[in-house]
Amino acid sequence: MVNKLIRLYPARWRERYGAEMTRLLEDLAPLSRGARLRVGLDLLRGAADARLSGDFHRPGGAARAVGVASGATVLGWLPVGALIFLTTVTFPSRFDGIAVVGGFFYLMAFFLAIGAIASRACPKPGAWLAACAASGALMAVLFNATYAVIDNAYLGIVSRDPETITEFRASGMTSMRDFINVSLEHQIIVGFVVCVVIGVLMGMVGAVCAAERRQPARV
Amino acid sequence: MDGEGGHVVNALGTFAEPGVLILASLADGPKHGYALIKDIEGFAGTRLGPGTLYAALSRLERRGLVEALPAQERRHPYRLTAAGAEAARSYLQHARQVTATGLARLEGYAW
Repeated sequence: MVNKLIRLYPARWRERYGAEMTRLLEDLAPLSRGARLRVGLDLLRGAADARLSGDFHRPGGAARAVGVASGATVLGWLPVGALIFLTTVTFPSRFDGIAVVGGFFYLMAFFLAIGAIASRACPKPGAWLAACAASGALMAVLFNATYAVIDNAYLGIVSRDPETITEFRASGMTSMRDFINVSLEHQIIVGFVVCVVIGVLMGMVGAVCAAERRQPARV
Repeated sequence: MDGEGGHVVNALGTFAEPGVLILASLADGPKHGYALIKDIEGFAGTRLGPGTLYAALSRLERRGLVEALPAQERRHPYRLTAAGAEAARSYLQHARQVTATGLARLEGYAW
């Protein structure tokens, strides 16, 4: 049973140490229930270390870097979507300042992590740069799509925002829904460029820092 | 931990202390995983889990401090390299210095 936990280690680790680890577990048997639990937890820790250290990681190509970065971006968008919903629908017009500053720092840290993740998936600079740019573009699309869905679904709440009312009156338009959608369309290009630029710049920092950490330590 | 001994420990990362125990164990001859666990338990009172043992062993091997000998019945004995012996000596001398200083200061400590 405990032997099966060896499968959690990276393939390259198993190729090198799998057989002797299996033999060691056979040597340690029979284990009491408590010992099995301790050994199981110890193997989980070892497997996590082997995966996180990157020493047994098998780098892939550019497609893998883009795929990993895109998947991470969808996960990273979840708190952004929640924040947009909270500040637009649940607490409208109350925490906009904090949300903008907090969201900005979140995105900076997020793209830093994307750079590190993408460079680990494929260490070629062209690949992780493309992955960072794709992540920025995807985040911009998700960001705008979230606003489009929420603003249209909760138009009654959004249209009561004083700042939106002022801008709507100044626009000369007659439909609040049309005004909001036109405003979103105008924001798409700017948001796209900003997210891609921040994604690439912060991603570069993250990738370089991650590469430094992956260098074997000198003894 | 500062100093030369501390440098060795820092270079070994998360599994530094098990790494030092392994180096000390291998100082009296090659051993495979099970023998290492038993020997370390005997001289240090610490029972290393298999995950911890191999995390530390793989780090030591990549840094050239230990090397694997040909497998015997799926067991790879490991032996200390010259660099491993030097690293262990450096760490243990540093630890001895810290221990001596700590014990000397504790002698004058008023309970």
